Amino acid sequence: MAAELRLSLGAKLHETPTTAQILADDLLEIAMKRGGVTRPTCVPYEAAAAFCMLLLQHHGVLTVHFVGMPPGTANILFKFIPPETLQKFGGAARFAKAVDDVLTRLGEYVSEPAKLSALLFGEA
Amino acid sequence: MGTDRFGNSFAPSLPYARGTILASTADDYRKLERAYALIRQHGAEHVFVFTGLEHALPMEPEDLKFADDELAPALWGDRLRTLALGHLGGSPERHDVVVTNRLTGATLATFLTLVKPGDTVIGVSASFSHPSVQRAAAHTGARFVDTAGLDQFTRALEGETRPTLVALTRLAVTYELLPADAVSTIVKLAHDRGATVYVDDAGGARVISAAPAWTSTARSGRASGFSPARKSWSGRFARRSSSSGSRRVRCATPRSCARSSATTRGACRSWSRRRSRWPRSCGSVSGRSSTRRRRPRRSWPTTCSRSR
Repeated sequence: MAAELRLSLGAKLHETPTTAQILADDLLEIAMKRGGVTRPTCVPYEAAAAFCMLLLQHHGVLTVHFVGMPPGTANILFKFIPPETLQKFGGAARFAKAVDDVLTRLGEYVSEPAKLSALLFGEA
Repeated sequence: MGTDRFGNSFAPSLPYARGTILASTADDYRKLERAYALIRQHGAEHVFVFTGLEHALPMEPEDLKFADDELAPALWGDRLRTLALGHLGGSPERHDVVVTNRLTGATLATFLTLVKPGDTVIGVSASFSHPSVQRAAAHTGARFVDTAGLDQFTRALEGETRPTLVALTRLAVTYELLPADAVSTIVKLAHDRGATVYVDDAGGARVISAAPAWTSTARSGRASGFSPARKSWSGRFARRSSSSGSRRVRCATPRSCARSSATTRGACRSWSRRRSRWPRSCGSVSGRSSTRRRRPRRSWPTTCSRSR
């Protein structure tokens, strides 16, 4: 999966021996760039939350971000994914495509606090 | 207190800054409720769990008769204790096993037992201690000093007169690992200063065997270690194995551990709900002679109730 993610994230993909990650600071920078934003109105943690919410909303992917209360880190962690789950989703390439899609969507939210709030809390 | 790349100061006990939208734990709960709504919209069959955690309970119909608070401990308690102590490097003469629902509960229970207001707790990991560890320290009124790596820990330890507890995290939430030799050295240094070592192995046992690292801590009698087996043991179950074949365990633990997990988890949930059985080492450290403790009467803080 890391190999597929690296194709779109390049050096922004952070790896440890057991995980592939997108650091929250990098996530916000990527979103800002894709959204044409020069000054964010949210913090990296909120961008990470929005990323995970969009991934759940548009692709049905539940990430570890929603497990911790609060999360132990704001970074996006890809780790210990069961092979059968990845296969059911459509494979690593499809997952990397979903991540890329959500990063582009995220660009629309990082400069609009009202829109970000509605995404995170489900307000109309 | 650190800052992120954008100059935002980290929130207390967290490795990131809060903003104006997710400003508090209350906002985190609202966020979670929104996620739950999306899961309901998708339906369970159409949600892909990419958390990397094993939080399910794949019980078979034949397992249900064991899911009883009275029967499970009677049938599986001794085997659970034997295998758990074997996994953690303990001995029945000096140690006992306590099963909790999740590691956050175990952490809080341990702090409530071992830490008094005003005590000093030193956290050590490859990067930073999990917020649940820091919050447990805050809840018990302790002063928490967090360190990253052996060198920083050593310097912090030298500056303390008598730390009560060292909270060691083998695999940090950043998924950076403390080397085994550093773990051994930290444990020895802590014991030399009279401190008890609490091991948060929430992530560690998924990537490397727990037993070698814990042998020295358990034998000293001044340690309380929670393995994740916490993720798969504490309150969670695997299908009872034996001749029917073992459930696949996706972690690098000794084969005996994998088999033991599959055969003994039936006892866990009943125990964790019914009572707490504190390790004998904790009982002796706290000055009490009894090896069994009732669950602490303090109410659990809601901030920890949904943590790890």
